[in-house]
Amino acid sequence: MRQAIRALGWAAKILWIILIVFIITIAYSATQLNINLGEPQTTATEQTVTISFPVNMRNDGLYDITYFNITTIISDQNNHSLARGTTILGIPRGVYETRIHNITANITRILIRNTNLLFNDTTFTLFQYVSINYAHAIPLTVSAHQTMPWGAPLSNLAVGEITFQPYNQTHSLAIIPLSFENHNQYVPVAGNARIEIYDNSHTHIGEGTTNIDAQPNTYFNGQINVLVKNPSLSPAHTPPTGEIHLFFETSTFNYGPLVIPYG
Amino acid sequence: MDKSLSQKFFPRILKAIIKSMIVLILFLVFSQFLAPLQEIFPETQMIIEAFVMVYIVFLVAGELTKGTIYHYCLNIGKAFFFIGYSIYALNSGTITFTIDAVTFSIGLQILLIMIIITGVLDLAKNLLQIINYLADKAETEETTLITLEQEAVAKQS
Repeated sequence: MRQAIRALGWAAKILWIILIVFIITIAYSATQLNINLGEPQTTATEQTVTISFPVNMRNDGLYDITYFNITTIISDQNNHSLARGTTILGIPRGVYETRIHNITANITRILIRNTNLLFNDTTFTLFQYVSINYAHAIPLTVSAHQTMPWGAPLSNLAVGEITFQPYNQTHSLAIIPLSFENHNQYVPVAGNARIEIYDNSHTHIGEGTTNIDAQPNTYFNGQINVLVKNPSLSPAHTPPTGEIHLFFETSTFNYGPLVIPYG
Repeated sequence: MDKSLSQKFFPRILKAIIKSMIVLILFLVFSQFLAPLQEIFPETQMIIEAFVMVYIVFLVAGELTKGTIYHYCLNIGKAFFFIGYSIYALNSGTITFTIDAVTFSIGLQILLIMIIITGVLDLAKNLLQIINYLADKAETEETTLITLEQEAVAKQS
């Protein structure tokens, strides 16, 4: 009995010593750990935007980081995930490592799914999540929310009043002013704007296209000329009524028809 | 009787006071290191103070009841308190806090398991000590009875 008691006492003491040594070394090692995220850099292609964070890690502690996962999720105001980037690595002790953490957002796909983002400025949520398993024993997670602005590429889209001018015996020229502001920081709006004109009986009476080019944070102000068949015009040459269908065909996105009544 | 009682208890009281003082000094020194944590965990001070107070109560009571069964019972109580306190203080093994909109979550389950195992070992040790104490006592009583019986038989013969 006495030997069992003594053995239990020793076991408890040894466990305490291990525990205290472990806590002290973990605390010391944590101070020797240096992880920092560098300044984000953004690169944009015609269809994608990539945000890159350099992650610098130096593990001078006594234990390995067996699992290091950094995940970034960009989501819209309804918490729908728009883009996601994950970097997973392990950092043994005494190692200095730099990795680039990329989040690539496919703007084309995002704009197809969320057409309101074409016209409305909003804010996205940038959720960053870092998960670490330290010394095979202590999992640590760090999470942070940030917001990032989204500028609508077709903000304040306006189709002005259509003016009709006589062109020839059979056709008139409809001049349609078109303007918008590209509030986006990354996406250029470069391509074609196409307009189809329908009269009030939904008959296609004309179609015209113009080149548009609005680089990030600039605006476009132009017009589209459309040849319209004369019979559709009222005998008194007053502007008819009907609707125009507006299409955008750019390198980043295709959108349309945007139906706008006229007259 | 009073003299022997005071002779018996005075060193124990002195020992309990000295031990309590040491614990208090260690607590004061330790709390200096934990001062920066106050901003992150405002309840740290309260949790540690409560622990130190209960620990001192167990320490004094343990010293005063040394050599009795109550000493081991108190040790069992102390082990239970320590296990329960560890689970509470470590928030069942997951500590979460927020600094400047950044949320940290640390999993201390393995440390907590080690602490609980230590507490359980202490508990088991004290239970065995109680059994051993009672066995010793029974044995002593039995020996005394046998001796008395032998003396009585010797006197009769």
